[in-house]
Amino acid sequence: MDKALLTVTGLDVFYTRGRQRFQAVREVDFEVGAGETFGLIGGSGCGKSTILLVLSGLDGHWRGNLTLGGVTRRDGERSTSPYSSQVQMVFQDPYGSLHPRHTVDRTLSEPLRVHGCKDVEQRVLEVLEQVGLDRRFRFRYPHQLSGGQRQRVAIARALLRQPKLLLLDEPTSALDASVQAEILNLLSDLKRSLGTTYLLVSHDLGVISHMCDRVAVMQQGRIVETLSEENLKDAVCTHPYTSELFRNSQYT
Amino acid sequence: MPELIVENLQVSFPTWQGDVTVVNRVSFEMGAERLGIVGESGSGKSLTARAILGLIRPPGKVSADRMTFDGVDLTKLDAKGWRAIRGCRIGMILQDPKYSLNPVKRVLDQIAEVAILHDCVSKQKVHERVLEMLGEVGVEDPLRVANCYPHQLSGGLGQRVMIVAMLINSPDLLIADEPTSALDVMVRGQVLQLMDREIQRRGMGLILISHDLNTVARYCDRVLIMYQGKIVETCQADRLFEAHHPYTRGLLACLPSISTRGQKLSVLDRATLDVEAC
Repeated sequence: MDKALLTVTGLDVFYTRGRQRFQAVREVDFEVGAGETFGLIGGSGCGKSTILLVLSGLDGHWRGNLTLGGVTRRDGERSTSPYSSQVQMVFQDPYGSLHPRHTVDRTLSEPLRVHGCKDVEQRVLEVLEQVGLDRRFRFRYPHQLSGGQRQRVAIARALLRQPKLLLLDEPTSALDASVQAEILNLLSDLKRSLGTTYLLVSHDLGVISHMCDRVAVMQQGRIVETLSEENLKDAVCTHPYTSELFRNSQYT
Repeated sequence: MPELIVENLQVSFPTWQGDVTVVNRVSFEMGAERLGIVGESGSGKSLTARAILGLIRPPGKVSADRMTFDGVDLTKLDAKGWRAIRGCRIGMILQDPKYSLNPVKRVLDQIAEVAILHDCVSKQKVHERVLEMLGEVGVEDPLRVANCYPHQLSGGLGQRVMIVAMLINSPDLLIADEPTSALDVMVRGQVLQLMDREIQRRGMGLILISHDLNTVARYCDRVLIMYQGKIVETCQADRLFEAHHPYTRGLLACLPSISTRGQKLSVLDRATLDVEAC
């Protein structure tokens, strides 16, 4: 692993409801190297998406240390521009994450205008090309696009500000197997050309082992095991939860 | 189990550009077997199942040369006739228990309602029977679950409740439309095994609709592969991986796994497929 781009130490996430306190993530530590694809896998409710929300700055109920590209946030600190400019997120459901009344062009140019980018036009065309969308899609609304095309728009939006770290929250689980293959190919190509670091969350061991260099297995808010590429290849694991995961994934 | 015969089933919806045929001349027959229907979104697999149960509402149009279940002509049934079939002789399990269970009724009451409506269990015994069946499908604390509202249950438990509601009338045929795609990977296996066990025990028929080839290969005897509203291939489930239609081959090849690491996944060549499909 190269120099660490992202270091997470002692991350706890709490949600309180009345007097009840629910701990969604418990003492999670991990590092993601620059240019690496790091995976998080686990069942529903294990806290994997929560970690992404915290990293993207969308959630403030956490404690611990996050260091991304030399910028550190501590104990629920809000993300500031030097931090947030380095990270972007792609959400699970492309049907829900695009504004239904905004055209692709507006979806893509708005963040650029907000950040005072000079040639919005140029950049929009550039990212559309990067994600393999034809120019004729530029003035369409999300409902005029297929699921795969929408996910491409969502990826294009995440690439606009050239982030170092891309958070991918189950980017293909709402898509068909054939479309999933297209999106995974796109992500691999983008990684090769842009050198972006990925943090990929998925519950599908096939997707994870196809994409990731290292994988952390999560259960009930904890990382129970971290597997390397070789471990994945030979299905070597020590924790019972991981072996169950391997067994289940053979059939489903 | 009595036979289900479907011949030249067509489902179409009117649009501004004329009628769109979403299920195109689908024919199959089945007895007490486990039949899988595979295809991607929009291939017409769910609409085929809905058409069998008469659940396609106007302006959708359904026509078939023949569609019979145990000698009953499904194309000519009135509302009363349907009540004797739906939920009683043919049960259906939908994708997401969150949306298919009644949110304002306790689990016990909604399962009991189905049973009482079809006179399958007497009113005095129905509660006992529901608790017994919940136990059978592996619910650890049937009494607690029975008194819960659907939002208090996890996805896996919700789907078990759905299965009990469908099995309590001992139907002859169960249609499961993507029964596990809303569930966690770990729970998926459990729910499928449970469904499989109950079906084999009762000698029922099953139509399992899924987009997942592996699931279908494991839990079915025979598989129909649909593309753009047509059945493009039929094969034995254990020989699914030897299928030869380009669409099926494409679907098999595009699955990611550890062995495809670092390679480009093959994608479907839709242009040539569409030419062949026409």
